[in-house]
Amino acid sequence: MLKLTIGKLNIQLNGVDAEQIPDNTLLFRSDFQGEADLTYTIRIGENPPVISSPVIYRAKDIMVFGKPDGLEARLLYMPDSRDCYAYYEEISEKEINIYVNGAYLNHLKIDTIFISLLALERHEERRGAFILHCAYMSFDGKAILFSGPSGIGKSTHSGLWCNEYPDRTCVLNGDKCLLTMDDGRLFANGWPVCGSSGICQNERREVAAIILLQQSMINQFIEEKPMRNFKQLLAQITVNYWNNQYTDDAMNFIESLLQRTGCATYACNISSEAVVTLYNKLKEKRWIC
Amino acid sequence: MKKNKEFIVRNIADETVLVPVGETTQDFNGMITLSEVGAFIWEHIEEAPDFQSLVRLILNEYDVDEQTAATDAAAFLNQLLYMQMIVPNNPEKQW
Repeated sequence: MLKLTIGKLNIQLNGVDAEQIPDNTLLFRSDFQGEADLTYTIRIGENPPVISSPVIYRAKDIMVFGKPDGLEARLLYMPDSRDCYAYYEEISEKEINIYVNGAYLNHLKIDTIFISLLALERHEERRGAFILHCAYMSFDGKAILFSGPSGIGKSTHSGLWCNEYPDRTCVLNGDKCLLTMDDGRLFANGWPVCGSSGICQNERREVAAIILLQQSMINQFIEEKPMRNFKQLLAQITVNYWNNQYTDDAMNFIESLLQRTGCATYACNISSEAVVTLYNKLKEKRWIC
Repeated sequence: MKKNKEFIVRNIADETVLVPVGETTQDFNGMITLSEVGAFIWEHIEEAPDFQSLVRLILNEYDVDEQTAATDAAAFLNQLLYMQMIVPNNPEKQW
């Protein structure tokens, strides 16, 4: 049995050992006492039960079934081959069975495959925590989050900060963080998936600023209308749009964070000057010290 | 007209956005930002039994001539119909 604490969840994993799951997930090993919030029983090579619930959503890598009492089941597919590698089924709000296709046992070592098995975004959301697609950088002990579509330059820009201010900066996750609101303050938490960056740490920081990156020849700090920031953030937060309550909660969360945390668009090139220009702007705004 | 219920309306600093949810998300990506009049039409479209009633509602709310209101409303409704965001509740009725 393995215990993990990820964001707001204390998790118990039955049926797998540490050697079978990703190293980045093991960064979140925990020795929490008491009952787990979620208990997963992973059954490798066992046949799943017959699915009788209606399909509520389908995409190329997932099919979601709506069970009674708001519970879900999911078939998970390899995004390229369309082979089904697992069946996830909630037995209750706290108990989950996962049937893994034995042919894909080795794939459990892959961050995205393993974390997708757990449907963590759904369970974190119920506790007010949301996954943001961003480079999560620590600067003077606070988080600066560079968000935007894949390929926009999040890792590149955060890397430039590390070059420019090596004693004050480090990247904690190159691709994602988990956002939580505690006592009215926004925090970034570690997340066990980090994309191609390979940078993944289980660290928590209060968020100083969220910067929505764009590519540009000239460096320009742009304070957009609240609606534009809202839409940009919603596009970068993991939302199960088939779930109305989840979607509504995500939008409430974004509205709330925009009232509490500095958020702006930064159109920039790849240069040391781009870093210094943003640094000066963040200081001027008093988003950083 | 009847709204497709699978959109959540959200107002942010006097702007309105429609966000798809449920099955709608399978063939509809992204969000739709509505103008002030668009948001008014979306809010009241189910109250109006026919197109002329909708135009009258717009004329009661905004300082605009009837021709402009009717032209703009028709264009907007066509977009909504094309995107299946509204459906006629009685297809035989003139809209």
